[in-house]
Amino acid sequence: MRAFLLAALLGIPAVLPAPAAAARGGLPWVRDDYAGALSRARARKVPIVVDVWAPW
Amino acid sequence: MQAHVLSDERLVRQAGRFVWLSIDAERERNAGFLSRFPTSGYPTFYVIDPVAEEPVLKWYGSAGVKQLERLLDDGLLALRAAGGSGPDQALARADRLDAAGKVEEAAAAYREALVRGGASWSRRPRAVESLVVALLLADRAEECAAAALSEGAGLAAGSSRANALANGLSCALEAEGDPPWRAPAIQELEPLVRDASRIPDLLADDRAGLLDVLARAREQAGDAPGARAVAQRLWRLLEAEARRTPSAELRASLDSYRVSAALALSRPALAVPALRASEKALPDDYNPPYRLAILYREMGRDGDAVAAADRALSRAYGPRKLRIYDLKASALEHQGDGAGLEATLAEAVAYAGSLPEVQVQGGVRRIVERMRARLEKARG
Repeated sequence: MRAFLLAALLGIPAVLPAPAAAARGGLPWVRDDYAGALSRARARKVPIVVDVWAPW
Repeated sequence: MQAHVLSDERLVRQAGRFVWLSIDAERERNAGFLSRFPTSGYPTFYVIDPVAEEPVLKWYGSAGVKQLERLLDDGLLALRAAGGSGPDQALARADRLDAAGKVEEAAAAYREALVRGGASWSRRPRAVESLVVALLLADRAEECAAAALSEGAGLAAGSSRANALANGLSCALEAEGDPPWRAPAIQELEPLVRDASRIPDLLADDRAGLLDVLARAREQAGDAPGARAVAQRLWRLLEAEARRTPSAELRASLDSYRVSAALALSRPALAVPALRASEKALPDDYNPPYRLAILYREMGRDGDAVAAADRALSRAYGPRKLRIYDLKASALEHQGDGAGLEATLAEAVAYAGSLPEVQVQGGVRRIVERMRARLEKARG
């Protein structure tokens, strides 16, 4: 949990580390497609893990 | 987070337990998801029940690999636990309330879980972290700081202790007005956060975040030399990370701290070489030129700031683009380029109008309102 969470929630800019969009390792990520992920999760009967991120 | 943790090969063993969805909050196509599952900070993790389409666990911010694996276990627990009187079941109920945005009820449920779990409960550190954040989100600043002291300070050295204390200190620092509890809370929490910032094996961005909070505490205390000393410590940490980090992507993940440390030291030029290296290594990423524009603007190099902002705008999308327009407008105004200023503000306001409402909230909305007012003034 980031220590500067409050700053982030208050909209204080320019203090959040930037995640790199390409680095996704070996996990089979579904990108920007909630409906597709939902459909797969229901078919496999497993929950969905969602990483909500911003590129800054 | 993505650069540091989600690419870790150890997580591959978790692959079959979930469907993994990545949501770029800046993408317009994700507006529907964000309306349904709102968040106030990034990154945010959800575990979602696909049958009910309800979130059962929500986690703000970064986590190490082991911590993330425990969170995934807790997500499954929250999905499956129904009733029961043990601490794990109480935690599951708290997590579901928290994920549903019922943060006050969640805080009460986290307290209940802590009572049931006792001092040796294995999930205690995470429950304490979640309790402090729930109180923060519920705008219960006094309780947030008090919980950090009463519960966070009792945890063993580790990321949960560090983050609970730092979030408690943030609650005290940002408390509205100057209530009587505030100064004593800061007095107790600040040295604990300072000690926590030296805990071995913290994630680099967590440690940088702790130093950021400590710098704010010194600034608020009017202690400019103290704030500068913290910023210097942050800069040394970033230099050490840059030396030991193998990839440009990993180095760039701490660039925002490079900018804030250089600005806090009143030496914006200090961070320019690192940011130029990031732009060269990551030519599709709008962040390095945006951050360079911030530095150049502070250095009074308005032409370079405008050029860097233009490079950033050519690569950017989503609400972040509005902050870049705002920065460019500031440099143009400083240059005395009235025509350029008006054109930039008009472009920005038109762009804001094209975004879904869910992407123009909070601080972004305030920026748009400010730019709209400046545009009206510029047009006379």
